[in-house]
Amino acid sequence: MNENIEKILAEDGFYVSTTVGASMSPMLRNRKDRVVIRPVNGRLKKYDLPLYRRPDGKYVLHRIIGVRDGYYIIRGDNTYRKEKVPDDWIIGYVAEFYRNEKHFVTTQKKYRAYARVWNWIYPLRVCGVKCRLFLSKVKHAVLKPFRRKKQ
Amino acid sequence: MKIKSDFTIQKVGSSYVAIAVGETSKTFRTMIKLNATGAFLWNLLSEKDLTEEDLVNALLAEYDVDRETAANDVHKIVTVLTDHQILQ
Repeated sequence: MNENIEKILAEDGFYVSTTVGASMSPMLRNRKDRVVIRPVNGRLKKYDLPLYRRPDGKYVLHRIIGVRDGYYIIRGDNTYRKEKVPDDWIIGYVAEFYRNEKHFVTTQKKYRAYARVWNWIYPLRVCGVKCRLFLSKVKHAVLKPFRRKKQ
Repeated sequence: MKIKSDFTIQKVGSSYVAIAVGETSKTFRTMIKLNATGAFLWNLLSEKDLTEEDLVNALLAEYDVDRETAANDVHKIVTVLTDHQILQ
């Protein structure tokens, strides 16, 4: 992302960019889908998508899964770690996004329902990842005796 | 000239902005603001390989402007797109 997002937001009132990385997959795909960021006006709500800047300067766009006094609990849709993000790290939020040519506004009921469901099934997703890991280990252990040794 | 495939235009409210997508977005990290005329020309250039003369004629057919104004507008936009290496 651009290094002057705060400046652009202050001057133009919005910032448009593709997202980078897989942490918000499957909703936002790496360097493909586009987000429209708007400056924050007041506190954000659960399931909003804030753009924040960590003290090391890195921009991150993840989802709010908890609202607390002075900070948010945030997690990427495709990540398995929560992050505590103070209000003053937040520089904007996703107001709209484009998936291919399909346009979504983040206040739409349909989109909010998607965000709620995605969050509700988090335990199932964790289970799925653990199962995949376990099966991969089993497969590795079972096939080990049949592997050819490198000469 | 034609818009490279790694660029797209987005309408935000009443504004238009052009950004890079895909691999190009690793190096092209800015957004270019366009007015309605710029967006109109962008859409033409994203579909077909056109000359400045073609764009002036398209502008004259779409908007109620004289040839000189249309030529100036086209030249300004083509210059911006060329400077940002958006055209091929």
